[in-house]
Amino acid sequence: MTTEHHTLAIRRAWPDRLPPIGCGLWLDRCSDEAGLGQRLDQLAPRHLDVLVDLRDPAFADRLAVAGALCVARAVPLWLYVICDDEEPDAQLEQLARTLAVHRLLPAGMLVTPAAYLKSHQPEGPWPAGASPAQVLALARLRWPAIPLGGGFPTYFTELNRCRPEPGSIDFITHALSPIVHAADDLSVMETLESLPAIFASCRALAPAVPYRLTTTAIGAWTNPYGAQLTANDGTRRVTLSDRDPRQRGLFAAAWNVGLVARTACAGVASLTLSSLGPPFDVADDGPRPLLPVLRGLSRGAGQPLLTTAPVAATVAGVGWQTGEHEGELWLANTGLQPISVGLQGSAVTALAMLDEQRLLAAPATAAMLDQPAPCDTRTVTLSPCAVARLTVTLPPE
Amino acid sequence: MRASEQRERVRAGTPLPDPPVQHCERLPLSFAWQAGGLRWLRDGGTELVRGVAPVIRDGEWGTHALRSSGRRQSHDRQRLALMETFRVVDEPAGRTLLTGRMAVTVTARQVSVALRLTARARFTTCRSGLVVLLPIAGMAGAPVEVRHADGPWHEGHMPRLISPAQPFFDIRSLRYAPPGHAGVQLDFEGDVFEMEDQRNWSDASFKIYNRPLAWPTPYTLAPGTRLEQRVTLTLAGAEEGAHDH
Repeated sequence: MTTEHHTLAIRRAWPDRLPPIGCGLWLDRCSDEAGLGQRLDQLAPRHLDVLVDLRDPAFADRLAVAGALCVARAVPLWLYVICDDEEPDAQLEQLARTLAVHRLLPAGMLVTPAAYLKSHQPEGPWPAGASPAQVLALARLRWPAIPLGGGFPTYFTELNRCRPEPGSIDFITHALSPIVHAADDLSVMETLESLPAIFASCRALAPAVPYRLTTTAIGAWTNPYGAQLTANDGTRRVTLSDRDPRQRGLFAAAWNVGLVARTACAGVASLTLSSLGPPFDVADDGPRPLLPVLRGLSRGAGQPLLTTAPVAATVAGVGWQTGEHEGELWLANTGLQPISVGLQGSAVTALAMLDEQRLLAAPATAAMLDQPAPCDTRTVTLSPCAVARLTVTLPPE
Repeated sequence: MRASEQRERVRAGTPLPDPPVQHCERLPLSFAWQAGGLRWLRDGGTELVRGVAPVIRDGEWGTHALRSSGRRQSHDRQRLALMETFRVVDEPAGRTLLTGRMAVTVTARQVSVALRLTARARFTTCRSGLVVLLPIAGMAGAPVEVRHADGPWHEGHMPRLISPAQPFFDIRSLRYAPPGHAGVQLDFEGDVFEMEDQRNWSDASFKIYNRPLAWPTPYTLAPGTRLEQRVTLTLAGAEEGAHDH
């Protein structure tokens, strides 16, 4: 294998700051309270986007449990609510009771009629029941003080095809799935290239309100285009699956660094990556390689953003300033060949590496990237899908 | 488990590897060949096409894996020829539902891709046929010329912001020029083709596909049904009538 060399310049992206990174939770798929608390502690997400399907009778008890865990850790709770499209108000009443009884105050809420989890062509026909605008109005009457969003808990397509009235919403939101149309490694990594167009297009739909990218992972939690997801035993790369093997591998760690790098400089207010428990668990029989990376990147929320240039398909870099002349930089090899990266005008003074070699020696742990080892180098070599956490010097501005 | 499988498991979460990628060139054109499709068709350093592949959807818009059943490659001074045959099976029973053959011929000025599909059983699909992907860089917002079944060329633009609806319908031929390139013409045969702004789904491409989205899905191919589709890419300046397949 040949090693491709990149020379990158670290840029201070001031006044941009690294957006907060949170995690998703599917209430209807999560019954393990102890595991949930443990994952919250390991990951320390900046918020939790909870998918609450009001058609599931167990939602109230589970929301109470998840809400209490979040309150105890001061993790803001965002609700992505699915309601019946025939009787939305009766279901919203149940949700209101649950929130009141357990004294839960969501940081924000999106309400989606169940029929809109399916995709509809932009010219219709639209489902007969309540529309997103109608359930938004119902929610507004009930919760005048809670920020209410427009968009969908599915993919940008559904939002682009069914656009909210920009003046009626407090935030705009959607998720991404990189395996709708193609599931080979190269195509999945290439999805990163489409993100600037998605962010610009979504921004244009509602320029004045915060843009939240909600729970995104290598997988699809639902199939808006058909009756069900593609069956997968967890070993195959198939489209529209919620059991993609790469979500459990180093691949997801690299893809997520690429995603954060492309998101951070695009005016996205917050992003939510993977989930606590199924379907996109950051840990199942142990932490996945993704977990220490998300834990690390979550720490940088609100810090002055560092980006790398030029943008290339096979390398991603993102970080934040930790001092006048020092920063924390995360690099990922988003290609399938080894790369070496030289940093123009910067020295690497400490390094922690997450790569195949390290994971073959011992399984991932939540804290494995917490302590970069001192070093003195200007070039970092990354094997395919490797992620490195660096402490770097920053050249004078 | 072998060492390579162990590495793949750690990297990709599965010991199963992706199909191999082979670099191919008939200069000045080059591309990568993987699983019966081509990626990154370039003229020198300019990417002309992101990919051309047979794509077989199931009845829920999921995508069937293609099982390669043979590959042939030949070249002489003028041309490079690649052929790959494949099967689509119903998992996990393993019964063959569809067989296919991709044949690619590359000369210095032209790439011809021909797909033949034969239904071997009653086959339910949302779409089966050739998909051509155009790159985003240099193409978003760019002028293009389109020729429909009605004959004359029409001028248009690729969408800059992501279009929720199809930017172009009924595409017989499409002309465009990537930045710094004299331009290419794509000619489609064998079905009705249209374009989708695939960036909607975070794909890194615009997609040209067979069978209009407005037609009912899923649909069924009766056993024995044979489909033949072809796309031909010709570099601008190549003489009319110089089709050499």
